Amino acid sequence: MEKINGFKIDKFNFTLNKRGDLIYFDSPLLSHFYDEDGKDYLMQWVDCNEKFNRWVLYRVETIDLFLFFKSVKSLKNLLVKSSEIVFVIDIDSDINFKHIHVASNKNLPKEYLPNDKSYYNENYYTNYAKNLSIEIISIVDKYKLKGFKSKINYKLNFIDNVDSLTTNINYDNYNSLDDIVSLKATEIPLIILNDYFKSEFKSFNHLINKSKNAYTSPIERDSFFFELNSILVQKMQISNSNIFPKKGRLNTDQLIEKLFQVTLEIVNKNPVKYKDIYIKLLENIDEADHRLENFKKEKLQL
Amino acid sequence: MDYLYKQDLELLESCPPSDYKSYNCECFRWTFNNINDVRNFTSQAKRNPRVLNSKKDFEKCEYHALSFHDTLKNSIECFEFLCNNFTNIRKNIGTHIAKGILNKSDGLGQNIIDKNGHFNFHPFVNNNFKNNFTIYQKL
Repeated sequence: MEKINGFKIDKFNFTLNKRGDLIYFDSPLLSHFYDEDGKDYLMQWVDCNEKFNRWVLYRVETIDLFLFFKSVKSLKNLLVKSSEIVFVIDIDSDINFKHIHVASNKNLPKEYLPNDKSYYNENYYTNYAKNLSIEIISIVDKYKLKGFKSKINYKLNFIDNVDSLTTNINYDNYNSLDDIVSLKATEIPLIILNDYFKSEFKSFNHLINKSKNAYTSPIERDSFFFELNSILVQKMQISNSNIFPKKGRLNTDQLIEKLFQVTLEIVNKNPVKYKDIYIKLLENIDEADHRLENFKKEKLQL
Repeated sequence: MDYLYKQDLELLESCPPSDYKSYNCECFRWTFNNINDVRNFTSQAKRNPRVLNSKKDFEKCEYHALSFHDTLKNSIECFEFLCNNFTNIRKNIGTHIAKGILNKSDGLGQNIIDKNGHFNFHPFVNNNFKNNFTIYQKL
């Protein structure tokens, strides 16, 4: 395999969790990861020898994923123009990250780069990729952010600055007290659900990480509730909630009720394990939060 | 009929999925030049686990399956798509296309739902891939 111009590190200073594969044929070739802050990464297969498979890992912003799914940016664009720092990882047969190099994407061997035709093509991407594209396009379209980068010359972190940027597009959307209360209400249910389902899937773990950014960014907040709704529909067979009304603000009331309904079922199945934390949650619920009236202590079948 | 990777599949939930079916048709698979190359009809989880990128991947049913295409055209077009994205892809999936017949005794595969004609196939222990498939053309 090619020599990498960069420096070696023993391990990452962040925790990497896999969400899904975007391209898969016989094995994963392009995968989607996130860290403990909910930041997105792509991991792309680039090379192999008898001992290792080599992957390039790099950060991607939500807006760049949106442009990729809209076929404005190619996979090559994402790699060479999104984040200058990339990680080149050699993985062994026990799936250990044996060698990790930090490198500049400008110094990557040419054969590690996709070509100029590497645009999103849903015919060859996985169902996971198709669902992710729906999620991201729905969220970003809602904010009318197409052509955003050409209008505003910014090299700052998109998500960190979106609060001020949204005022420029005359859209009354920021995290109100109601939004904060809704986000807060999901915390303990997600901890319980993540613990209960952790051996089956990691979706709730991803949401716990994602919620950190949701408190400060309306786009991340909407993305969080969109994903929560999708998980409850797909994994828990809960009916779809219309959280995006045609006009007006995000409506999470129905979704929060369903989250509590699902959580309460789990708590009642495992009262010894989850009763105390659930009661703690109930004690902290704002008395004025009428959505949760049905889920107070009397519903616990103890 | 026992699956080739019975011990692995038994550890996974609903693997293969209940809607997988028998095949009796011509199809195509990416292979290496020599049809007897051990890599050609071995799942990635077995022959090349280092190609996975998360320890959790071992728990995914599809990594214990083999990829096939329903037509030569679909096989070539899909390979061209991969070449656009992964320059070294021949090192990973093979250098040639093999053509052959999948029979009921070879295993069970998923219904083709994607436009690209790709389907996963879980081989039985008594599969006859090496006799039923021949190298058809170079990729």
